[in-house]
Amino acid sequence: MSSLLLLLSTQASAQTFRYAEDQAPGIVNPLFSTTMSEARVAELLFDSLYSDDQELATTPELVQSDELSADGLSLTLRLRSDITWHDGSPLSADDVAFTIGAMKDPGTLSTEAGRVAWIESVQVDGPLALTLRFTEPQMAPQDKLTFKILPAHAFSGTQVSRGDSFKTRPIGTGPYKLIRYNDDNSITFQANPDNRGGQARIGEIVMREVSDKSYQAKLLLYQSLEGLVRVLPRDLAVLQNNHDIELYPYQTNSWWYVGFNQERAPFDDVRVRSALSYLVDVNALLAPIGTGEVLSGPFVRSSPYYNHKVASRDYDEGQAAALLEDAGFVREAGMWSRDGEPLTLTLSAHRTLESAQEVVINLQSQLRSGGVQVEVDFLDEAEWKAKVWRERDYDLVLSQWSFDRNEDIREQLHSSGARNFGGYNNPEVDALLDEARSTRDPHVKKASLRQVHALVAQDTPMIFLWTLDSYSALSTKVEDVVIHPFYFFTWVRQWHMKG
Amino acid sequence: MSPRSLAGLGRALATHLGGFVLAILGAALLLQLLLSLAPGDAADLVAGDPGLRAALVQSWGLDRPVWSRTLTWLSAMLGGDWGMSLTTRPGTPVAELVARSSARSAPVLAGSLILSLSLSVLLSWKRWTLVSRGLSLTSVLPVFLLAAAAIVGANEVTFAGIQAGRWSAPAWFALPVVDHPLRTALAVLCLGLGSSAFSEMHQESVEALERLRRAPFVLAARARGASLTPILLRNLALPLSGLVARRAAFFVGGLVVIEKVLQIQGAGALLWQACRQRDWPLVVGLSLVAAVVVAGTRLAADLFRLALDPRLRTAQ
Repeated sequence: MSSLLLLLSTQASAQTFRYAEDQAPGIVNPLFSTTMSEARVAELLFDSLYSDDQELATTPELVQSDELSADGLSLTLRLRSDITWHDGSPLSADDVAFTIGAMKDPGTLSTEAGRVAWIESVQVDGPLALTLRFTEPQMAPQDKLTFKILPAHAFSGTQVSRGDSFKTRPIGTGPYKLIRYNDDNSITFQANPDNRGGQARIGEIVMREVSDKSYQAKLLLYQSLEGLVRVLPRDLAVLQNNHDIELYPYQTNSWWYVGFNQERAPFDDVRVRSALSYLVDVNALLAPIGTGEVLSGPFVRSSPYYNHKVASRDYDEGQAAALLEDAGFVREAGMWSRDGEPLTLTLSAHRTLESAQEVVINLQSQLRSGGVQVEVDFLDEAEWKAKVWRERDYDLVLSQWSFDRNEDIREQLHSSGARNFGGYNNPEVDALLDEARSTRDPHVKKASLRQVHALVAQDTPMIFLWTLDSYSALSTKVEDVVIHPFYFFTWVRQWHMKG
Repeated sequence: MSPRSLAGLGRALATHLGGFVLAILGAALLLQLLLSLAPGDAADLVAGDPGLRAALVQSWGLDRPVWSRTLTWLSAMLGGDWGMSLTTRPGTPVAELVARSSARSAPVLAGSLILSLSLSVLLSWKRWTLVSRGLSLTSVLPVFLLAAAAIVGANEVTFAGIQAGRWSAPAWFALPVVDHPLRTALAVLCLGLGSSAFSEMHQESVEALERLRRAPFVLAARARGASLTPILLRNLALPLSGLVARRAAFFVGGLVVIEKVLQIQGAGALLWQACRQRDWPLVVGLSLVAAVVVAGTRLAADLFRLALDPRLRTAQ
């Protein structure tokens, strides 16, 4: 037996880093990205005009120098002259103009069009020089120029098709080249020898699709993987105690919430929403699924926009009862009702949200003991987008929002926001959000968003729950690891492997 | 063959071929209908705002009735254009995805059918009761449980050996993420045995063989001292071909489960993913191939029986 196994034995190259994704990227073209696995792969293959340094401050990536006009309406850029595409062609200003044009082209149907809607036009001033003009004055446009740049010469026009062969044979300027899509849905990447600042230190990266999340930690323990993007809370203890594995915080700007459908009675009444928020013991919901920070508003606690003067709500059945009685409800046989109609609601949750099942069951139990009947509906991705986002056919939702460094909550809370499916509408909040987006003064932005935090906490369009501590797990064979809190691989160039 | 017999065979062939085509068309339309009734569509999954959603709905024909979409797809398909995947592998031709995934499923499907059938016939022929009972007991376990237990067992034992320094990691380690022939063999074994696949086939083989052994013409042959094996095999082929045709649908359905558990990127796993992602061109393409396999097996079995048994031709 052992000799047979020895005969069959093989070892991954010492310089191969294998990591797992729940689902392999469906498409490797940043114009059509919809998932985090696609964003992580894009980070390996492509560069942006600007990126983050390890202090999370905006730093030029493809840009040599820039100059913002005095009125904030245009930005002149000069690109670095030492950048080449994976096929050897030099980077040019035409590539930037093409990328923005392709994202804006209605024929492309790009999922990223919103990221460049604020750019009015692009003027190419020379092989490496260009000017971006904006629809309105910008304070720090560099912060938003973080989308990936594509090679103009790989396409025949700005109307790009999803079927373009680029999706499987991408050409970038990033630290890795895509070598092949394997039959088992894995993808092999090889270090780009011509990368700016020198070749990445890990020679090869392999992305493996492991759809069963609960099995990913096992594979890391078996040393069949070197990296796990996100560890399930229940696997933390086992991985923490293993000397061959190191945990790294992978703290995305994300927070959990229970959202109300404010277009549906009785959740259009702030008293009912507030009462329900007093019936929820957030700490008791959090404890079984991990550790984290309880929130009182729509930002993570470390955010400059978080208003620390607003306290999170504690469980208070008396306060809840007072509010419900004020709203016309009476409690009979332990359950709240109004005009003979019991206070019953449906709680919809995303099936793929990690640990959602435990939270939903405990939340159902808390509300039930508070006199509210709760039915539960778990939805897959398509059902979620259709029922919650589009048709708004729900009472309460349990979900989370994730943000990049800009923490732009306008889409979620502005009355015209594309993701404001709860129907929240407060003109004062709208004005503050508009001001936060348009102002060129960072102090004004901070003050506006902190005020939004206070108002939103008062209006309770959602019950703000927590930011969950989350971790990546990597083999100790991988050294000098620093993980970007959103894109994961931003600083992969410096990672290296022992031996 | 007499002219009467030939005419009978022709009519029988026409009836079976007609049924075959109708079954395939029905399957394509039915699956489209079911998918359209499920909440959410491909545009919901991709678009973050209503404007993009409306454009995608129009571009992908999601605003057209199911029957019209299916007919357009079928006519394009007959011209060789199976369309593009919308969400599972956006922009990749469906024909390419179907061909690639079917090639990975074919050995599992054929292998499990052959394993199940040959084991059933062998054990009922040889009357190895103890082995039959053991396998029948194992066969009671659902396919997914059998596969999961096999993976955990193989991985844990191997890893313990690696940790103890008794051997180094074999090429297949760790299941199921490594693409290795052992994984395919495991899939064949689990699908061929699990969810009562073996026990039911074995039971039918035993009964068919017993009936044959008691049949007057077999008793007469035995009295004459003739060799029974060719007679029994020839006559056993008739009920067994019907059995294989009936079980084909079960094995095709089982592919979804076994490929998901063992992470084989075959047609079953792809169909499951395409349904979840509301990728209707890919769902229709894959289900059409599945319908062709099931209906084709049935047609082949019917033709085989027609060829073997002249009474069936006259009865037509």
